[in-house]
Amino acid sequence: MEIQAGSAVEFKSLGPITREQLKQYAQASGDFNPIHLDEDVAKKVGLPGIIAHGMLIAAHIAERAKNFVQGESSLQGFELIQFQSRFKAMVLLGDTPSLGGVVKAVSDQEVTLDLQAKNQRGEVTTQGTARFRKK
Amino acid sequence: MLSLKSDVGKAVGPYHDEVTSEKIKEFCRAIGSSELHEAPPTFLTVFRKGEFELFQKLGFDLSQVLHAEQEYQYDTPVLAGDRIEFKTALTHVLEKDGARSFMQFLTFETEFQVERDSSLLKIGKSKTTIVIRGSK
Repeated sequence: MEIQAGSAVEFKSLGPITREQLKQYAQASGDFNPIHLDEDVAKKVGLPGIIAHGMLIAAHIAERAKNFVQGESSLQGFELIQFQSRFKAMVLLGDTPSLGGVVKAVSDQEVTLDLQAKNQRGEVTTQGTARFRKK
Repeated sequence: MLSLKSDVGKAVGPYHDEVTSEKIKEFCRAIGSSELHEAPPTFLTVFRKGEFELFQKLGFDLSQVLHAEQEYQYDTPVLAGDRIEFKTALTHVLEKDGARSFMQFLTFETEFQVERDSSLLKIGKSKTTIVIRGSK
């Protein structure tokens, strides 16, 4: 079936967020904010503990969007032109986010996906909007 | 924490940074991507040097910073071998005065370009909004 506005982008779950993963992301991204690496610092600034880089979750949402578009035969040749993410709630060590959402709009030339990351309690931690245009 | 409204317009750069295929692979692995040769959509986050430098200039510590929003616009994909040029400016400050804390939402914009075959190409733009919380 052709996709249309309202079509689901199936939720897919990530494994639990680990310290090792945040260290690896800090190294790769250059974001060494200690709230992602050091429990004491995180608590000192009033956080419940180490929190994940928002951009790590955003990266996973962007990947989910790309994989969805690549997997749709009607969307071949569409390329990402804009990606926006909003960080609504913290993602903690051990959380298991899942990523998915809905097709917001689609035409011959453009498709927009509205995606979220939800934690294991179903709370939206991160929103992402991805716009693709046919090249 | 003092109001940063008067700092709108402060800019740093241009900076230059080489993109290697190793760097792309490292980033892909860190975000669990199975594609290791293409720079992922959020790869531009590796060029936040200008933002970090402005944080320092504006006088706040990295641990006070929470990321609120991030936007990218893409013109040309980043390729291994590119020497990316980028510059960053503080473009917007929104103050929220609450009962117990004073919050400031700061927006930084970065423009990226690259020289390929002796012509200058736009890579894209990023808009980063962070929140700084200060107690009263």
